[in-house]
Amino acid sequence: MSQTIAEKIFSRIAGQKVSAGTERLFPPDLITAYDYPGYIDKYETQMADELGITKVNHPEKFILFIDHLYPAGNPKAQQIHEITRRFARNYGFKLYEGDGIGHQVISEKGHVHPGMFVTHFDGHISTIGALGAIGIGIRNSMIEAFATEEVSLVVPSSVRINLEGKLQRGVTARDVFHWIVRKIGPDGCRQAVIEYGGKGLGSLEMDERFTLCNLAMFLGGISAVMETDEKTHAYLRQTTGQEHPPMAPDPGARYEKEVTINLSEVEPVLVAPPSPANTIPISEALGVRIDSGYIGSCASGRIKDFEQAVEILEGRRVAEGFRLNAVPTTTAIQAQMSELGLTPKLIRSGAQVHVSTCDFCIGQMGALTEGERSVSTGTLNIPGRMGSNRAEIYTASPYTIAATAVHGKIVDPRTML
Amino acid sequence: MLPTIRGRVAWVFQEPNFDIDLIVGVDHMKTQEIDILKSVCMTSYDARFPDEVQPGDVIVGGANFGYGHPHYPSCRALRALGVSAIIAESFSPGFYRGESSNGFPLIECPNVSTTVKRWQTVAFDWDNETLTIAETGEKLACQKVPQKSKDLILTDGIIGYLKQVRLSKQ
Repeated sequence: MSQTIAEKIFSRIAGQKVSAGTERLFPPDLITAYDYPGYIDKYETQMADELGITKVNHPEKFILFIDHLYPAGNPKAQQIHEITRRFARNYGFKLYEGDGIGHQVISEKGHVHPGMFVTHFDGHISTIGALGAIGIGIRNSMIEAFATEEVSLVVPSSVRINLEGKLQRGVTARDVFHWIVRKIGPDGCRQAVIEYGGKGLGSLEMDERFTLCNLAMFLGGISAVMETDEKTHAYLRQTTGQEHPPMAPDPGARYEKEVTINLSEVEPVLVAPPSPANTIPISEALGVRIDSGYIGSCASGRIKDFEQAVEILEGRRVAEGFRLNAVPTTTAIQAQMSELGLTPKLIRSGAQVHVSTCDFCIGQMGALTEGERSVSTGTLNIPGRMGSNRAEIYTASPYTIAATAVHGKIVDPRTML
Repeated sequence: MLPTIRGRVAWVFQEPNFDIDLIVGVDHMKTQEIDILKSVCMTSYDARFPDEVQPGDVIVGGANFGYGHPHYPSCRALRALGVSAIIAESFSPGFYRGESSNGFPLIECPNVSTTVKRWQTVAFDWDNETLTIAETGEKLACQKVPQKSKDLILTDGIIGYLKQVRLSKQ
């Protein structure tokens, strides 16, 4: 029977052909987690005290990340990190600290290969779908993965999204994703793996592909995965030093639905407060006064994102009183930004360039106060996400944020390119 | 034995993509104190909800219920007030995974949000996966409940499930 990419991946892991709807145990290729109060500290207690597990069979499958509350702003945060270091030491797990946001570090460090199944608490692990792998956020059943090295799953169905054409100038992967949400609804891919392919995919760079996969949950997707092509394999050669067979579905694979998106039709959009379901065309928000901007997060914050921001900001200044925070997704990206000259250009325009961390996305740094409004490439725009519950967040593309930063109000970036 | 789900419909959310955090409100989405959570639960929809709800009652939801970035306090509050299940058109996958791991019965039942009325009594039949409205006798077909979700309900959540179902076999 013809298979989707998801069915192929889960069949390989099961050691037999499985189709959407099959419920069984699957051993993930990688089990990953980040620390935050109530996460790794809880897993440690659950493992050692509640389940009496002091050793795992395959410690090499586990990777932990210190990327939240980083750098620690107080002793309590440092204590949380110390628990994570201890947990990694005691069980023999790999730990990355200070390398940036785990959802990207895991790919950069060569851990992700096409065809892999990776688990994390957090659904944004779907980012790795850009490499033909499937990452699923299993929330508080992470302890199931830690304790048994298997997770119970119903093999997800897939929604096929065929991309055609090329993006217009001033339009980004962020716009594409939210354009799709607007077109098929925030539940348009509910419970399914979003399988991206088509000729248009080839026109997108890896940075843009990571963005598209990262946001899968806001289409109701359980994850996202992409067909691989020469761009994917060039990236994988650099990160893994290996050649991989292409990853693609079988002709005739069965999808819950198929959607075609013509990239050349996509226009800048914003996600207005208070919900990620609330996509609007930029024309509906023009002129809205904004206090701060954030370019970063696991969704955006890669070279492509900062190149777009610099296209707008070079030779211009951030508006008086506007706070623009540029936060590279990883330290490797941070280094590359310096090498490419992006960092000095951002700084000279009035942006602040920060160390790689999750903290701007969750209001631990650069927080908003009551009555403020922000434009953000963070993952989420719900009240309280970036500080006060009475601040408003619009998520937008790096182009739109840079244009908004210059004027202190929402501006269509295409008018400045 | 799986718990009996038979109770009054304490609220019907018809809107799709309902953000679960609104049940306790965004000011309380990280609150831990259960008494505070109980006192604010659903009060932005019905100020008397914490007094009116009774053990065994259920909440009815629309499509993609739990969309967004769900936190746990809202369902902790519902459970503490005695709510025995959420029956929705469909659930957002992250919400479903998280709350089913807490052993909370979540039943997917197409057409439920437009068929049942507040304060009607409904009963869920685990064997036939149907929901019956007591007042009218109408039966609604529900989606199959995954075995793992049933196991999690039977074992009161993920730690009990691991101890009783998974690790006991190793």
